[in-house]
Amino acid sequence: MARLLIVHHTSSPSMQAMLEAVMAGAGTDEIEGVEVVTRAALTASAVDVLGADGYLLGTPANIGYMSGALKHFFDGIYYPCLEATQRRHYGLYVHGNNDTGGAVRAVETITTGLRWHRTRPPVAVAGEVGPKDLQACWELGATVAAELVS
Amino acid sequence: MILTVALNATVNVAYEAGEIAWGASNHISRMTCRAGGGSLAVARVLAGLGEDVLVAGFAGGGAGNLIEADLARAGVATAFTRIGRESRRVVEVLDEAREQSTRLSEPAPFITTEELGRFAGEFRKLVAGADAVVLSGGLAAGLPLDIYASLASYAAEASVPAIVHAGGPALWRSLDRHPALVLIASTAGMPGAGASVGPAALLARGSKAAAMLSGAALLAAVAPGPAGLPGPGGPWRAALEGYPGLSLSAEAVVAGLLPAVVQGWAWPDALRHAVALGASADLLGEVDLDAYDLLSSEVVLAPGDGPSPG
Repeated sequence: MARLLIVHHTSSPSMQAMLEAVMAGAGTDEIEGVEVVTRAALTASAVDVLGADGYLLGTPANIGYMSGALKHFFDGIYYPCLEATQRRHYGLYVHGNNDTGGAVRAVETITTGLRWHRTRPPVAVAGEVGPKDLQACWELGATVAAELVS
Repeated sequence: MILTVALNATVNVAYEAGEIAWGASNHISRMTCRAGGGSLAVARVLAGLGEDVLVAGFAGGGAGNLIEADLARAGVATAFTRIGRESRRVVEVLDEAREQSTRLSEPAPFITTEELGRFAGEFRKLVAGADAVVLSGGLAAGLPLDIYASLASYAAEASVPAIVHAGGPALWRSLDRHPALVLIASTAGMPGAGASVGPAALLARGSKAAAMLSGAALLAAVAPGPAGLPGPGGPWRAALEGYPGLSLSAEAVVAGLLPAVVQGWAWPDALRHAVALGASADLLGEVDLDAYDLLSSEVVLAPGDGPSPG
């Protein structure tokens, strides 16, 4: 059974809606053999990361950067996981009131160092989260889950 | 005191051998171990010219100790924020027989949020006593791309001019914090990269003065009005003609332009000084003063902001 770890910092109704859509996609009945584990960024540890086969990351964009909670997560797992998690698949979703590019680039700088493989482009939403955005989140979750058993 | 910031300080290890046989054991004839990186080279040039300079930034492990010791030997004071990981090493292997050099670059250390916070606090204390701050070189892993912008803002709060020498997003994001001077050595990674990105474009984005290296030429312009620095606005082009293949050390050019920012030199004089210094310094910031004396009289200054044809 493959394990998909969702690490998220959910600080708003918009982020909650995106998280639920990602979780629904990751846990869809259409994909078998994937166990989905969800952890808040402030509680996720290197043990969680090492024990998973792929990752979904969710963060708000705060002043052009990822949330402090997600950065704190990376601070704690970067070196313990640097060698063991190379080439693992991951996906990213970001929500911000305005520009989300800075947060996306900041995450991708670190995942590049970790040599994680981005399964598909991030779902980055600025402003109100609409049905198409939630559909994209669902597809993100499903795609990363499907990669783990392909 | 000039404060230079090294966010990815490096130990440059150079091995020289008569001939390298890959896949075999080789004896090295000569080995050197020097502190390197953009801001460290700027600091070394300034110390060589007798300036009071202090290096801040990140350093860790045994490599960090080597960096501090090498800078101390060069008369450069340091106030690094210690990190939990090793500063990175760059190993260069010179095969003399084949006249080939191979470089092996370690990844940059990851900087944690706590380490960044400590550095920010220490930087704000140090910048208060500085005449200028130089932000030069690449970024360690885990640092936000707008770190130079943030540091330029802290400098502005302390009424200290900031000089930014970086590439791509790190420099572009600092422009609207109105640094006193920015220097670019290429247009790689800049929005709208190409012939249109020159000093004038950088001024339009907020820098008070801007310079661009192009081969053996330095193009520069200064914003007009109260926000600009003393002297005519330019643009100017300062170059060493008749030296095909010559390229200038960007870090030495930064050091050479500082007098215009800190001491009120006229920009034409600073440009001549910077070009001569740039042609006389090596990658680590060691200046051949005899070469500088010879070349400084050969720098040609002219109006214009076009790229050098050579």
